[in-house]
Amino acid sequence: MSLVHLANFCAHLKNCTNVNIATTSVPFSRLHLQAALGLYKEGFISLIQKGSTTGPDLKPVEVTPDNISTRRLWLGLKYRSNQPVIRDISLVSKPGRKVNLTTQEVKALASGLPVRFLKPLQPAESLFIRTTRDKEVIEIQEAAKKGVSGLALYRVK
Amino acid sequence: MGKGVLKYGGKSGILPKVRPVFKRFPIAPKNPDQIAKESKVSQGYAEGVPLPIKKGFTFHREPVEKKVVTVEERIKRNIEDRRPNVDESSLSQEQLWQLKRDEIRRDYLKQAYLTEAERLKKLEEYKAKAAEREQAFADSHVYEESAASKLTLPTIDSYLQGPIMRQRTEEEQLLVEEQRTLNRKTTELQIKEEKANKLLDLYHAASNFITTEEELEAAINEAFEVNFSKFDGSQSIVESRLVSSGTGYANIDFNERIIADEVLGEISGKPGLQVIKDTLSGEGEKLKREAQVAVNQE
Repeated sequence: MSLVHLANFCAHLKNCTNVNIATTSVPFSRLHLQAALGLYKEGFISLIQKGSTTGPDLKPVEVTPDNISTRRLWLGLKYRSNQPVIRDISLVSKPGRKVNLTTQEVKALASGLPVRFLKPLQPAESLFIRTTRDKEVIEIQEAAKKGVSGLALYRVK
Repeated sequence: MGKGVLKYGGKSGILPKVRPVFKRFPIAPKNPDQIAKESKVSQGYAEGVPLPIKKGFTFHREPVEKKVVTVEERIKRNIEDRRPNVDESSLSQEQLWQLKRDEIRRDYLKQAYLTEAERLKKLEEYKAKAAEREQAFADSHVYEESAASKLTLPTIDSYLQGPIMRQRTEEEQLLVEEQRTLNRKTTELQIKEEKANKLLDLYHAASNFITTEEELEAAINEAFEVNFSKFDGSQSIVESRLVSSGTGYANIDFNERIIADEVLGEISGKPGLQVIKDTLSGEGEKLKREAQVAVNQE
């Protein structure tokens, strides 16, 4: 897992929403897939599709070492009243400052309390964490329900 | 943290490690939890690895289980059976005191055995309770996904199940390696041909090189006395080229020669690499003969 790639992912989505683009693509990797799935589950994006650099796949294509460099994940961005649904998306953990949250801290954040330097979550704001045990990317409320700890990845509102 | 005694909380000395009461053998057989935990640990000498040989030692392929000696057995063996059987009436006062002292020691040892066994039992019970509590907590926190997400997101979840990318099969890997070898060899061949061409060019040019004194004399003679007008002409051409700005006419001859060389496969009008290759392999001769035969038949 690379926080640098995740930072690029966040910055790319933000750039796209700033110029009102409908669909965009990011490199195809597990982390990007997990991150995009988290956004989709929370309703921040409208579409996730496998594809290549030319566009979404019309027929399913197998991912192999020969085509991995051209494989992309196509994401549909949402807009409402001419405003992007993703107002802001940014990394929490940086490569030089990883924020590992304990179960208690996860619960505190989920209930709207500040934790260390993390400002409390606002309404309609989500924070995604990567669980320590299963290495899944899940939303903070779900993590609090599951009672897991993990690395805070990015927050989106 | 300080360097000296501060490291030990400001105490001037460290107490020795507490000696275990039951040192060598366990006092109770292992419980199922311990057995399950130990079954996951593989230790000992692997198959095919010869056991070490050392005088006075016996090595086992797998660690030998320690015999269980219960507290009762210990008390019987170390205390009851060792009680001296002496007639007290025949002993001196001092010996009687010694006997009394030994009795007290045995008593203390017995007490220590019983207390330690009790402590270990309590510890075991506490651990079992903690494990039970933990298990109960984990069981009560089983998270169930909502029906909506179960129904709507099966495809993307399935992407995340297995590996993201299929690795090459053995045949595909072989093909790729073959292709890489081919590419490398093609490049090497091109470089070698280029080198051979240059060498041939040099070889052709070398026929005009002046290598002996006589040749030099002859060349000078030719240039300044026999063929004087040519030298003069060349000089005037060089001078006129230096004066005039356009160089287009200078390239015309050169370009023509390049084109002719490329078309005919020659180097400066002399046989090229392909011609030499054909001659060396006898291919050219064969072709010529076949052509001759064909002409004769007509």
